Amino acid sequence: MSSRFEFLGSTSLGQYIPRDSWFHTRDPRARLISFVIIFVAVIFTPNTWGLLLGIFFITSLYFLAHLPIKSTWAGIRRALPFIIILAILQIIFFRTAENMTYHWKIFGIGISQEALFSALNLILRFLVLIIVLNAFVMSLSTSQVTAALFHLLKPFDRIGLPVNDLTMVIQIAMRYLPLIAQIAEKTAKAQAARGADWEQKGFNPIKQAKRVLPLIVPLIVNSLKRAETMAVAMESRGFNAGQKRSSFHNLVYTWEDGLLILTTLLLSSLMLFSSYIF
Amino acid sequence: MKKLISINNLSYRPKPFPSDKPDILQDINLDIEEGSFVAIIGRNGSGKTTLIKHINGLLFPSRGKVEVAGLDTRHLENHPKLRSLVGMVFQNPSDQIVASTVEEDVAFGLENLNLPSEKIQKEVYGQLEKAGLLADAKRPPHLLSGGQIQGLALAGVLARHPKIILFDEPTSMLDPLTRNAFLDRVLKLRRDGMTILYITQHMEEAFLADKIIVIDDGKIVLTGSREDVFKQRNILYEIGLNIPVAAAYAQALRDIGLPIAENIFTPDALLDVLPDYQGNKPDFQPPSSDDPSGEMIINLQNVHYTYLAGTPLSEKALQGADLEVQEGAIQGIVGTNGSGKSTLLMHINGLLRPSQGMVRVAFFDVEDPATSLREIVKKVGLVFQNPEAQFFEAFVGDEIAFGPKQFELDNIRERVNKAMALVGLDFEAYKDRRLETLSGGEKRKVALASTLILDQEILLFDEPTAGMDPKSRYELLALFKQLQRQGKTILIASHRLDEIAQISNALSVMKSGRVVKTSPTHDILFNKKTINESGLSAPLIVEIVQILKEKGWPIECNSCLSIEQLTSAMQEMMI
Repeated sequence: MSSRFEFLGSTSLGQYIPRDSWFHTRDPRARLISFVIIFVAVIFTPNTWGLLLGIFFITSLYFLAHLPIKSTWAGIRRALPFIIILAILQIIFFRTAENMTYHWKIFGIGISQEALFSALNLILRFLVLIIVLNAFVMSLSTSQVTAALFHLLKPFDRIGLPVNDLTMVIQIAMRYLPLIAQIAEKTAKAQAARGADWEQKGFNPIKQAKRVLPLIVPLIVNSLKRAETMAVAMESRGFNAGQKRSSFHNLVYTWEDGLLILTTLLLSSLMLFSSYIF
Repeated sequence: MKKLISINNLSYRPKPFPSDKPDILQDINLDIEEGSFVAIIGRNGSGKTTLIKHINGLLFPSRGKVEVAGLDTRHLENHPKLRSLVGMVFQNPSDQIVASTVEEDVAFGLENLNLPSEKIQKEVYGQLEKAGLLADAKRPPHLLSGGQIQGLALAGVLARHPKIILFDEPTSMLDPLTRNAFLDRVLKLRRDGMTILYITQHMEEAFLADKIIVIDDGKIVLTGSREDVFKQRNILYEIGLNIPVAAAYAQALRDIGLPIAENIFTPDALLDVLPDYQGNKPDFQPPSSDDPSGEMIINLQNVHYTYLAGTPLSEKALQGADLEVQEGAIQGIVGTNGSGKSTLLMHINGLLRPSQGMVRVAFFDVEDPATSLREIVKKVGLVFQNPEAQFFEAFVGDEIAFGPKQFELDNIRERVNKAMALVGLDFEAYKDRRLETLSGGEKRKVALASTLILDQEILLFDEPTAGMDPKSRYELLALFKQLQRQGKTILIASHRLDEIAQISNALSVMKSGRVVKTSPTHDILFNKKTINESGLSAPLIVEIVQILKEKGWPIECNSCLSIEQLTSAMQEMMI
């Protein structure tokens, strides 16, 4: 039985799984760019064929990177109720033209074939997005993301973009999320140990909200206090906003990384232009 | 010796600050030579941390001057140099970690120097190897143990090759074993020529230094060699500090007329000079012990618990723990950090439910999810480690009243009043004060009162004395005794055997998620094998009793677990 106080378990951070696959050994920049391209393709692909292609590509990525399917499946199950509600709304409010032909009528609501198809597309699109997102957190660690961003953004340093500070902000945020989860856990336990009702019996959203409210103020106060200590610690270790910094990670770009990006580009354009192909 | 740090007439007052309050630091004058090891001691809130933050320019003097290697800390252009020269290790290790993996955190300080990546990587792995963290290089820091995080913090500082390191109570969260390992590293740094300023609440640690500075209310009260400072016993007692345990014991033995020299400060020195038995009382009868023999009130059998079960980060905290506690006892749960003490306590008040095993507390089946947590909480109180970090109200009175309000009890005002009296806080003077204006010791008292107000039969404490100054520690131990007299059952998780030995009836030793042994306190304390195997260290009093017995003293082990008991027993033997 898992504890109701384990907030750390419900953050998707730290789910990175180190593997020695070809995909994992690619430069983090190449992996980051590839994922961005895939995301764009999944969001903008115009029809079902594109989405089906997407599922096919990403499933092959799971094989290529030896990623486990189990946690992705859990993620899909958690999101499924929301997606279905969205799909139903889509069916009900689907309108393309003034006088549409309804193929079916349920409870007096006309349902067209087009509406059904678009709802199906919506479900499919969300599923693919969840699968891609899970592949992303499992195959790129937070530190690889920050290192990749740092190196990718570096050229913009010249035009005055504060790249150092930006990546530092991201790095601290990544470090902070598990800390905040820990503070929340401790505060909730402290309140429960003194009689606050943290046990949920049945479905009662008002009670649930009432329980979370007293957490918010101590969470903010404690986070700010820790932020202050951390700022002092950073300063004492020689950090100064705006100064030039180097990076621990020395990223080396090889032809194989180029190959990865090129392949992703090709496959994604197949998805994007699927309406001309099929 | 070359003068490295010089502080002249330093006064400090933050802005804004209430005008009726005195400066936090007042007219501090101090010179520190290169390569010296200086300990700074003082009560919670006396200004120790404020003082050392002036040395790396985190704070500027309001009046006076601070110079480090000739650099005036007030000039901002000196700061990059200053930060390279001076490193700092903080009290709470996890607050100083910046990056999301171990290796990147060590690299942070080097990245700030804008070094090339290859050079950074070489330095980082070198430091990680010295700290014994190479295998954890890619792990996230929040999953390391306390000792490892403190080692990581030190590695991050050392990577920048500073000449001075400031330590702010770095060992207060560590168990004896990791603490000794950490102190060994500090001593090695000193041998290598590092200048060290070391704040501590532990007089034994202060005695490792060449020079000791005593601060009280922002002023330097005493300064000098360690022997000179600890000879000023009365001044130290007056400001709530202490002398090393060995020195205090030596004094107690002198007081009953034993010939023990004045200059004894360390355990080894004391054990060397213990006298042979001269008296003639072989058939000495020990006073009967007053161990409670009540009903069994807590019973845990084969309890298992895994944190973050089913994720890549899962961690087995309990692996078949058994625990039995008698009603009315003070029982200690001892073991190193990470042995499962806190997890075990949280099972007793139902915050955690076992994934396997049986938990009976009073009449509750805690392992049954249908048993309401709130019902258990009415019977069982838990004070967490560093409870003041979990305050969630603004005012003292509200914080203490939280529990009774949850249970909609009557006469809340009166209850708050009583709970505050119990911990020694004046109701009228404190009830409307804001929590953040309290000192560390006062905050701990509020935290205690806010649990004690529910008047539960069973009380659980997790490392209750960690980070407290000697006087507050002593008061707390007295409070435990008082609660026991009121009929409460008390469980204390701690890695400090010396403190818990003075008050507990029985001890349970934990190791790797199991209770390896539960016995009356004296049996555990005199069982060297169990203590060493579980990574703890026997209190000095035990070693003294053992040597005295070897020297012919007819002492019964179970009567002498505090120096008072020992000396009164010895006095009777000498008549």
